[in-house]
Amino acid sequence: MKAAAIDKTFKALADPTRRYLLDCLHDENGQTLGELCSRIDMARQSATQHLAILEDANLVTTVRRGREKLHYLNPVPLQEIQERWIDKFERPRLRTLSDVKRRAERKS
Amino acid sequence: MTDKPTFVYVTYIESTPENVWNALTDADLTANYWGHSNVSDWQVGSPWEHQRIDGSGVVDVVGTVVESERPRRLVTTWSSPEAVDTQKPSRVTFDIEPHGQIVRLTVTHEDLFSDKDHSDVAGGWPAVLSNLKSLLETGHVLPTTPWEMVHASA
Repeated sequence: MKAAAIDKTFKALADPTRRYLLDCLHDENGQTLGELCSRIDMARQSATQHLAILEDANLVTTVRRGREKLHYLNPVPLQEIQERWIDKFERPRLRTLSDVKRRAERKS
Repeated sequence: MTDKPTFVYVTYIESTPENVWNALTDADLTANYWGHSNVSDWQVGSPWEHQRIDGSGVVDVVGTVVESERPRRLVTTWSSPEAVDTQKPSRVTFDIEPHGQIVRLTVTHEDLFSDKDHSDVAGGWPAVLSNLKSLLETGHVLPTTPWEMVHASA
């Protein structure tokens, strides 16, 4: 994941309203702007701006169905963050654990 | 709303549409990053299988090729082998679009039957796509197969 893309992801997540919008889509994927606005009690214009930032960060993707635009949670960038910032840092600890286990088993 | 997709996943990959198509349809390449081989001749109407690579020969998903427009669009049906006669298959569409120098890969999964199907898919596709992206961009898959970590933490 490139630096610019990671910046966009973290910036998009650095806002409680945008995180709440992602939670709403996790509860029910594929919502229209109107459905999302009614859930967060927010003006359409403001919600549109937040959704544009989420879409630009590839955390939300949209599908056209007739006249409606449906919003979908796209967790692929979050997966990449997990791999970059969690899995990598966890590996040394997991290796330590397996060392401990091997030594303990050798003594018994 | 039956015409509404259940899940839509998007990833941007530094590659060509042809390479992305090959990575989705080549038995050896899929084995590299998916833990399964996708096996078919990818002609419309042909069967396809998602085969384990542990030598057991076990098939975890079977289906039919619905659309096949190399290298832009592939539509397949998905069923578990034991439910193939009793349950309507789900449907997966891969759209591969050039996006400047990179490729936008969209995976749309529709008509999923149960909540368990939903949670399996929700955990599975992001990990598979992330690993596919890593393979195409760096030539290597991720050191730990991501879906195993997903299942380990679930």
